[in-house]
Amino acid sequence: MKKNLFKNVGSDVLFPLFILIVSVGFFVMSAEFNKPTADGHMHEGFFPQVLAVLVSIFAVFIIIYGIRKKPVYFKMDDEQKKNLKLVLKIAGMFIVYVIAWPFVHFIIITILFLAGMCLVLRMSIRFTAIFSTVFAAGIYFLFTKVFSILL
Amino acid sequence: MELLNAIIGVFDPMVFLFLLLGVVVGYVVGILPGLSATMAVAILTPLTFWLAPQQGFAMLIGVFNSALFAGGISALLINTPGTPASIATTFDGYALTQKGYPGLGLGINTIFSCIGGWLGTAVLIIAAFPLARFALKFGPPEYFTLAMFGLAMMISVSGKNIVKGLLTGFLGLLLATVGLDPMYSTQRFTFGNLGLMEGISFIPVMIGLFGMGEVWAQMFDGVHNQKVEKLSSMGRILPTWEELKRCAPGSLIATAISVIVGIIPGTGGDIAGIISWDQARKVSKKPEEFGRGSVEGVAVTCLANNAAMGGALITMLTLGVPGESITAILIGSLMMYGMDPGPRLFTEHSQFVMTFMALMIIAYVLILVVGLVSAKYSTIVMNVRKEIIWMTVIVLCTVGAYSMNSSYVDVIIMVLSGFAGFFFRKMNYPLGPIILGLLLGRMAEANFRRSITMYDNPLQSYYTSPIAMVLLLFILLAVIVPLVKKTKQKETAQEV
Repeated sequence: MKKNLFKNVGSDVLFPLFILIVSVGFFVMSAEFNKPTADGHMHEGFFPQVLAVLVSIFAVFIIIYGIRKKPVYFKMDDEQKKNLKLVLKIAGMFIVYVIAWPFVHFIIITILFLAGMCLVLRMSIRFTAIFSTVFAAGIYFLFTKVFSILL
Repeated sequence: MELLNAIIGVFDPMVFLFLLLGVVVGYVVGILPGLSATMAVAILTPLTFWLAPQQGFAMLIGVFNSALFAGGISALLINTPGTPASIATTFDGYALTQKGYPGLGLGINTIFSCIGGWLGTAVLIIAAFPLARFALKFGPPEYFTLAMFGLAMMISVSGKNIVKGLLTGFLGLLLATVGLDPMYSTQRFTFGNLGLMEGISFIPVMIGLFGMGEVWAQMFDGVHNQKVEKLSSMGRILPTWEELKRCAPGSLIATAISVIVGIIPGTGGDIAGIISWDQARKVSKKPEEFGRGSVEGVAVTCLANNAAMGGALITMLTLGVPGESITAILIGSLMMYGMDPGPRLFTEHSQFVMTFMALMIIAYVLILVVGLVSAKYSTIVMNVRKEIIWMTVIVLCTVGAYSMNSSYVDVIIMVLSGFAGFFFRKMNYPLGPIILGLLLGRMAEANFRRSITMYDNPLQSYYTSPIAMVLLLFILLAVIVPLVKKTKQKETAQEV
């Protein structure tokens, strides 16, 4: 059902629809600035409101085009399905890496992330061990010692 | 005299070291297909923040100039341009390699890239100061129309779908309204988050769009590592005097074309290369050789994509309008150092402008040396596996986004921009306009609001300014001409 919905609606509808929702959100939030200023000039919400309307108009254009033409950007053959799995795995690991960063020491979390990526990308164990350790430690020392940035 | 002092200043050991480092990094980035100069500058910009402006820009100038030149190496050896600007080099480059002259191709690429770079910089030196003096006359209406003109030009050449370009351009402008209002400092769309008070920082956005987005897109397209065999014989590297003489007329034409193409916002080295190749073929004594490994064909295309950068830098430095993605990112780099590109840059930071020009000249001297010495070893760099590049880029993007302000919010912005960049890429949304919108947004809004408060009639400041009127006309043309062209193409296709 979900698959059919995505296939029938198409990516040129869903993506601009998301942008349309965001721009409507901007428009609504801009309304709270619609108070006349002391000098009687343009209020702070005017510019974002105009832009939100313009973005919405172009998003609607693309949605209509998407419904009429149904362009396909993600042709999912067997190879692409395999690649998508790879992207999702690494993106998932990346999100965990970013979330865990404030709680775990940079070197440890980066070694784990790089080692995980190496394994997903089918690199050899020897390369995984050397690359993840040397790269994580190298980046840590470059930033903390040379640039004086606490990671 | 000032330029001479600036050139001497480049030989400060640290500045020179960072320039050399930038040239080497740019060389590696340029050779590897899939890594672009834009991506490298985007990732390196926050890392250079901790250096003095001269040192930081030495590195960035080294990177982008060297990447432009090195993009021609993979175009010559494996028929795949290392950067988009080298696309025209494939027309003759690979054929020249197949004819048994890979060394000659690499030598010509190095020499003519440097000649193009020096000529482009010469035009920049001659034209930038008078243009900046003229631009000092600009007021709020002119600045607003100039910002819109830059955006319109970038959208008009940003691919097949202008509506998508308009959407991303205005989306960039909309995102630029997040933070303190430029006139009354009212908080807008910050949700009480202090990290958003100064607005959405363009550096994590550009790192995400150009760095992470590219990595996700490459992963989705699959691993296609091209194994480049070590060439058994490079042959001679330096061209003969006869060959150099034969390249001269085409090179002169290519320089003129490329600088003009570079000046026009929205165009770049790729377009300059293609037009120059075509024009050089028309004036050549041996036009039949073009497309079959012509030395002239390789020379003019290598010269063109480097000379175009000189033109692009004229509009970027004097008017603050970027010619393409890379100059948009360089504007961001300048802003990071507290320098706003535009006419005031030439009055308030004239010494830095001179250093910038001097760095351009010396960067090409280093490229000449590195290019000729390393010609034989370029195939080694080309064999680096894409998976290693992906892992390196992901970690550098994350740390780079964080390092600028030590801000976790910036990392989140980078992550979101990276995913957005993937979808934008796959669905043919141009990326340049969103960055440009984000960069020019505050300037455009502030000047627009100032301009309509200047007179009782809000539009009076526009129709009383000849410069603003001319720019408005150009904006209309920039949007209408591609639409008319597209309609005509459709009609022609239907008739056929």
